[in-house]
Amino acid sequence: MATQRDPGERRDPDERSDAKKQRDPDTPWEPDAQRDAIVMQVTLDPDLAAVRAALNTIITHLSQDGLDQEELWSVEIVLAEALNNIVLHAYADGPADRIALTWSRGPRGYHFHVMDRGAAMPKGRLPLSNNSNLEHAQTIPEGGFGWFLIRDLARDIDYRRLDGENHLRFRLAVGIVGLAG
Amino acid sequence: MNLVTEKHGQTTIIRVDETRIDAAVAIKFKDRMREITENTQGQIVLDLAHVDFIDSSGLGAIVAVMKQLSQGSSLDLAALSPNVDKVFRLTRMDTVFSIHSSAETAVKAHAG
Repeated sequence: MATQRDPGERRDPDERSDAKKQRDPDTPWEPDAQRDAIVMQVTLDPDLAAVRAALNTIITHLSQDGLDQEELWSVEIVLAEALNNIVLHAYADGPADRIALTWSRGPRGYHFHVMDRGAAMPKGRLPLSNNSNLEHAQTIPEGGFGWFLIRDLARDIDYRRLDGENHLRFRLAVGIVGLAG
Repeated sequence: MNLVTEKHGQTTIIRVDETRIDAAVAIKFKDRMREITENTQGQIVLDLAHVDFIDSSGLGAIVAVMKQLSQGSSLDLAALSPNVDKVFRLTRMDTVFSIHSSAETAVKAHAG
């Protein structure tokens, strides 16, 4: 796993640059991105232990940004679901490449971009939320909660399949300052 | 995956001595729980006091264990931390389980 601070156009030559070549550095992907915003990136191997470690890194970082416990939890659960989904589904059968998670802070919260080179989402779109019947024990679902949580907590969710890559973008309305009045 | 079992008459408390039930441990958790609950009759209380993070895989594992209980057994939950409680509420799984503020409260509820 590698964490780097990436202000503007600066590129660290030592970093693995494959994922970055795919990004167009001139086009900010966040709707309200500021050109001089700090963009953070973590790249990780697609295994569940690496996801745990990456979450720990990110949450430690965001707690230093002043997010409260509830906000940190909503970031952690949404990222956990998105990243675990890639490990368990997108990279389940194929050769395991990396996962690149990029984020930046904007006036409306934190914008996240998750990229992987695994299998596409079924039917090329995000799964629907699970709204199964809870009345009878045997019909209670054992899965599908992950997308339910992502859809409930994240905003502006966008999924695209581009050139063999999955791009999932979303915003979490946390760490918003100056909302008073 | 550390699970500690405590018998209180007809009620068995299973304490999860882990801070996370996430995708990395969900399968191990489900297997260990299955081993314990297979040989347990009556009320089972899963004490989550030490758990501060659960994700959808962990939640799915708890639901799977509940669905595989033998007849006459039940699975209650106790001592949910705020973050664990939120996952149960958001997914409406709080309507599926009896949830107690602590394992002791759960034991008393079943005794009375």
